[in-house]
Amino acid sequence: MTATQQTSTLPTHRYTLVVDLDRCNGCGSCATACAVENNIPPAPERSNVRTGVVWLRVHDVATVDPSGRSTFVPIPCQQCDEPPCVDVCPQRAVEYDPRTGIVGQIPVRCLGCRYCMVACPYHTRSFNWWSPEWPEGMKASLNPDVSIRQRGVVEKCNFCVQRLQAARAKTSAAGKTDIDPADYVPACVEACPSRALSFGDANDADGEVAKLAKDPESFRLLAALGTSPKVLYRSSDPVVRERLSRTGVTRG
Amino acid sequence: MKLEVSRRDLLLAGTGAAAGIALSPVPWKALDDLSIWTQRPPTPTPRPAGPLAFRFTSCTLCPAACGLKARSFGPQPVGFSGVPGHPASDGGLCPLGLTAHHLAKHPLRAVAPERVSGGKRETIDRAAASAALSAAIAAAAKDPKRSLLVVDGRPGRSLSRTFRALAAATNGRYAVPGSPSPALDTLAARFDGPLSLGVDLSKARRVVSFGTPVLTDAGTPGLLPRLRAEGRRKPKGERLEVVHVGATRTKSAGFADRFVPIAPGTEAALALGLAHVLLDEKLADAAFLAARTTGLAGLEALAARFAPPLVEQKTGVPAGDVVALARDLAASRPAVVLGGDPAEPLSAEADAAIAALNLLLGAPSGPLVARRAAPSEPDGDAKLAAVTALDAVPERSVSLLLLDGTVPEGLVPWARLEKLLADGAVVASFSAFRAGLGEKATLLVPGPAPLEEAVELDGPADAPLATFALAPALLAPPKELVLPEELLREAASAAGFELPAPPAGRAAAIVAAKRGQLFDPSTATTTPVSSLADAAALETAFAAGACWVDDPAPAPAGRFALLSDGEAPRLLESALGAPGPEPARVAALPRTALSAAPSSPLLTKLTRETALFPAPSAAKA
Repeated sequence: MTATQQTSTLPTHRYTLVVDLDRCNGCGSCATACAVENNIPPAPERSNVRTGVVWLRVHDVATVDPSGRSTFVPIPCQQCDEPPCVDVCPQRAVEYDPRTGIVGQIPVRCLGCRYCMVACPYHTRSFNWWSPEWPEGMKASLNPDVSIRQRGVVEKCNFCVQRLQAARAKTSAAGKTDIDPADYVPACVEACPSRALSFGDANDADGEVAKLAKDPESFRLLAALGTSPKVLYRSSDPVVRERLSRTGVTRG
Repeated sequence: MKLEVSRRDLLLAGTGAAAGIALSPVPWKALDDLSIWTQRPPTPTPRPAGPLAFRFTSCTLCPAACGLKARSFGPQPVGFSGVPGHPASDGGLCPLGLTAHHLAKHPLRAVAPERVSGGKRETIDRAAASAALSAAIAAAAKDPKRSLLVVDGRPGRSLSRTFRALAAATNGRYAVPGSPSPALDTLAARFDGPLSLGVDLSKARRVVSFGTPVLTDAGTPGLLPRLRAEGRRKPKGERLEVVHVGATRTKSAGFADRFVPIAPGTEAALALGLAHVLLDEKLADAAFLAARTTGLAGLEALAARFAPPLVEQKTGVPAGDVVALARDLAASRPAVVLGGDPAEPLSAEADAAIAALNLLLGAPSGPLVARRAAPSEPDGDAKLAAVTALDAVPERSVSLLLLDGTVPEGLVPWARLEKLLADGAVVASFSAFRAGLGEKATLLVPGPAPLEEAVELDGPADAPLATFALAPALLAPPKELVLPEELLREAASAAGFELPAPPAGRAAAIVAAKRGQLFDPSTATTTPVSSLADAAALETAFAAGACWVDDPAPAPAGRFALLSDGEAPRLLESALGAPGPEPARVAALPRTALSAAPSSPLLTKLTRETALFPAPSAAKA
């Protein structure tokens, strides 16, 4: 089944992240919490902005606003409803989950061809150029719920799907069917000190995220491409909205 | 038509097929599968022994003292998040705090004492470290010309009292780095009684920052951007806006509503120019000035010299902009002006001019609030050295420099300390890391890493309410580690100085004062301290990560002097003698770390691999 076929019916849940650009001060807490939660290893000193593994990048785009004012744009995988990366993967290592709308990456299937990196218009995927290594003793502080990826595979944000699995297990153990929204919050959302990130099920019409998604100040990056991302951005500045939705952000 | 297949056609088809297959993933996948032995097999993440539990403490890495919620397996934390409702941080946490659990295993971590001898670093045992320290203490005490100097990055702890007792016993000095908020201290010193000031940003409609990175790296993580964004739907005149004044376009400056670039070192001239417009156009808070200040005539005479055209000449800020900014400040009260950065302080004259500006705006009845310090145990009979400023220590007068592990090199650069050292001086550091000032030590006696010991933690000095936590340890220190206090007492005793026993502790003092509330991080509820049975109950709560927060203090009656005695000529000379305008440097610079610990290797990687500088600056590897 292709991604298009998978999305022909609306998913049961449609997990969505809304980023309020008026609040984001570029502190990097989201990127750090993401790296800690998902066991991203420290890289050799020769790694750089193009070769490093970073699931969520915060870009300072001072040039967006004619006044020169900075706008900080955190960019994780955009979790598209029409994800280009799914169609190009020869290994089916990228899968769209129709129950949640989450685009998952399965590293053990990945052969490292990096077609998905080429196909992704948001530059949110990273390739493991080096074997993962930690300073002696630091492996004990890794998150046991996330496996360590090997050299030669691509990886990306998956909305901390291990937290969704934990929430499902908790719900099931309690004999319930619907998970409590408070039980499933990605690490970046939990860590944001200025509360710029909101997360939830956009199919829940009464939820905060569904309301934010309909807000006229909300927009998507590179909206014209028709990839229908489930990461939305908000800004009170029409210039920022217009430019980012049209041009996106270039990595590096 | 007869179809003939020639040998050439077969060759072409075969070559095309081979090329097509080579360009497809198939052969490469086959090659990949065949050469799997060249790759590391998938590694399961080790699961630490012990059940999953959530534990609470406070971050000890910088003065913000944020609440920490640790997700742990047994004794091992594997991740942190903030504590919503926490009195010091309200759920905020910066990248340093999020990676605090990595530091105990940092590659630069030191566990055994080390000595630099003949330019070489060698590991020594506890006895040798104690003997070396003891000899240095004895030598410093006997020398009439040179003395012992202790530099303590976090005064007020039990270890701080031991340091002060040692300094007193050996005729040495005890110094602390500069104040974290000198402009506020300058203003508080103008009051005709003892006063400590905090900033309640939720009460402000305008925040003007002279160089302080208020939107990104200063204070409670994320607080000001959050407050600003919450008010964005209000009419323009009612919403909170931030104006950044400075010579460099820092991250905070770029994110401010307005950035006013000025020539370096001309902050005092601009502040006095704003004062000039406020007084000239009668825009100052007249009621506050009449009721709560003295010396208006002196300030008027001084400010009269700073007409906007002159200010433009000195600072490079157009005269019209000076007038507009002053009018905006007056129309947007409550307003507050903040100045300086602990790592890059302004001149004393600029602090004085900012203090006067705050008084003209009536800030002490608005965003600035009187606060009390957390109760502490009385000094009693113990002989303790007075706290001196580092700048007051004469050059080349120190034969033994004792550096506490909490002194950040970003705040106290080594070059500043090196000038104080006499020839052959011993530099002993209690840092847990061979980094920062710990790297400069000739005798390194490593202390516990962050999260390895319970720490008495006073909250930020400029918060509207005082907080205190006895941040519990989450990790066990290495068995071979020597606690600095233990070794210090042992070495002092061997040198002939018996130091007084540590006092009963802060919990007893807080319970005795019957002041404030106790915040329980597991339930996000508060309990009045007066309802606690005794100090033991408070200590039990602290051991579970609780945080004490003071009650609001009543505003003290009294007046502020707009200028202190003899200050006007100094201000005039400083502001008018300021350098003329030069092209404002517009650059984004990383902030200097206020943490004494190095960054986690993970944070170093993120700094290197993203185009952004993470918050309180992880640029230090």
